[in-house]
Amino acid sequence: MTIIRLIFLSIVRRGGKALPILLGFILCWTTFFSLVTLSDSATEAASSIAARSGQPLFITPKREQVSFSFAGVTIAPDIAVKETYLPADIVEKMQVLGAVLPKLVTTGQVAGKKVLLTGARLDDEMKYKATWTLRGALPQPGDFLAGSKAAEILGLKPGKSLALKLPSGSILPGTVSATLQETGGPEDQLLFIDLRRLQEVLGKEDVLTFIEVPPGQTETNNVQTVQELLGPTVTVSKAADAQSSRLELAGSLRRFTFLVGLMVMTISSLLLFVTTANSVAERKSEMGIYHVLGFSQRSVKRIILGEGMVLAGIGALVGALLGFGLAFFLLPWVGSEDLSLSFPVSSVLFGVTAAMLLALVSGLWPASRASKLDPVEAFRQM
Amino acid sequence: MSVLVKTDQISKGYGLGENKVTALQEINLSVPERSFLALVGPSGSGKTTLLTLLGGLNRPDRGTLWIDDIDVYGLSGEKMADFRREYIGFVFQQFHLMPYLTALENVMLPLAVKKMAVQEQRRRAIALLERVGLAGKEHRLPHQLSGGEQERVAIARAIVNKPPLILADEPTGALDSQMGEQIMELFQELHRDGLTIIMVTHNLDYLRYVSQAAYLKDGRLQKVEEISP
Repeated sequence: MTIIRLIFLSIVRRGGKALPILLGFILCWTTFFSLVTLSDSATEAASSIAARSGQPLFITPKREQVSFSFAGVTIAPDIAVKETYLPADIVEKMQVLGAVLPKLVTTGQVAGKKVLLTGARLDDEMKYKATWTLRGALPQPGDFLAGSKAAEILGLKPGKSLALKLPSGSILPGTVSATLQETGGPEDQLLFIDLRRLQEVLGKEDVLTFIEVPPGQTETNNVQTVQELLGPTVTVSKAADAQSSRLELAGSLRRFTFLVGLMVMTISSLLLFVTTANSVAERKSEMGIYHVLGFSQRSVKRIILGEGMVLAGIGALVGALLGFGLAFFLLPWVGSEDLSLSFPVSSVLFGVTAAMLLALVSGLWPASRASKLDPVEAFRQM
Repeated sequence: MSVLVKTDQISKGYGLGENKVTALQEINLSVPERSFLALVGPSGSGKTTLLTLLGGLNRPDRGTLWIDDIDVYGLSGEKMADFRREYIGFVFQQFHLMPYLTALENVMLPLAVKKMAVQEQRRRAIALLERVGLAGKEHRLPHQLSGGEQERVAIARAIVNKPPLILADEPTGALDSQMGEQIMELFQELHRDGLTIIMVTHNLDYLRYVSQAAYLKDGRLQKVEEISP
């Protein structure tokens, strides 16, 4: 017999007594670790996508806009006075920057549903968009490429033919050669076609809607440098892109998880304190026996604290495993398909250690009481 | 024969001021080694109080206790626990076994705080359970044993540390007369093997098993008499 074996026997054979607190611990820590798993994975995914895609620059024409307000209430924000485009030859001016991704955007309808049609140099887009993964074949001029959401809404699949109605009323026929896997960016909503083909169809060979400068093309993708190069007729901006939003969301989830963690620790400590205090009161005769058999005060404290620490440790560990499992079920609710879960080993180690330390601190007072119990008094109360 | 237990003017009271009740008054008692002493007397005479004082479970208001020439009340904390473990085995009327430990584990329990290999603990505990007539019942939990069997486990637990002194508080009090006799025979065997036993009892029939009887009344020691076998 050893003190450690005694602790385990006490927990296992008095299972009914230990079960409620163990379940309480497991519930608390399952909640915490499912959030930790999700927030770790979301942060990792957001960081990874941000690292791969970086922050592109966008060059758009200067727009003349007015807003209509009445009595302080904005009735119609940002009404474009006239449709404006970038001259297509600006692309040549930008060659010094490296690769650029010019685009022409228009609206269209497919089976009565509105969609934004974007003309782009799809070969170049594929080359510089690290987040793009095709399902299907690379589109040839005249073929369509559908973003994931657009494909879902319009019911498009690789190989499917479609007839897109342009604002002029003319029909642009073609085949969807590929769809994009979800990127979390604006391209998910778009339908793409070759830039030159769209320019020809719209009769706008000399204009562009905007130009994207992929990350890493200028030394720092510095807005000011590009603005100086292109002059005041254009607007150069670094968009707050989807990745930034994802990082921000992941950060919020982490902060929320931290708060839940604090709550879990507080609840666990209170639970353990109350349970240990009650347990000591209920098991007075047992404590008396320890004293009678020559167990020192330190040994009795070790038994009481050990029981609490083992329960807290098991609760945190089982909670971690269940939390990881729960995260799988919660994934479709909070994340997207590109979130991959990884077991948060360091968080689990920290959690189990923290749970056991909290058990140690919470159990100190009840354990101290148990160790000082008068055995004669303990037996008399039986 | 040298004296194992010696008390000098031990007095103990409960309560405070006007409500103070004297439980023991100026007890002077010498118990030689290898004796089997019965503490007898009516209810409230102070038998159990004296036993708890002899075991260091309680402290007197006045007086001194020596066991094997150790000033017991001079010990504190860890030293008192060590002393209790090495010198005294306790047996109680209510057995006080750990309900979630088997008979074997209950007997091994006092060894949990000793530096002894678990195999050696097992060997010693199994031998003791055999000795008290519980061979084959090592893995039963207390509630699976009869009262007499539980008392035997408690006795085995009391002697597993090989203490020189056994203190028993009404060890047959919760048993029927037949089981009571069996337990008394077991104590007699332990006595013959060289253990010193001090037992509280209200049953004068059992005096035939002991070597000495100390009579208490109203907290005072009336007399100590030798009992011939």
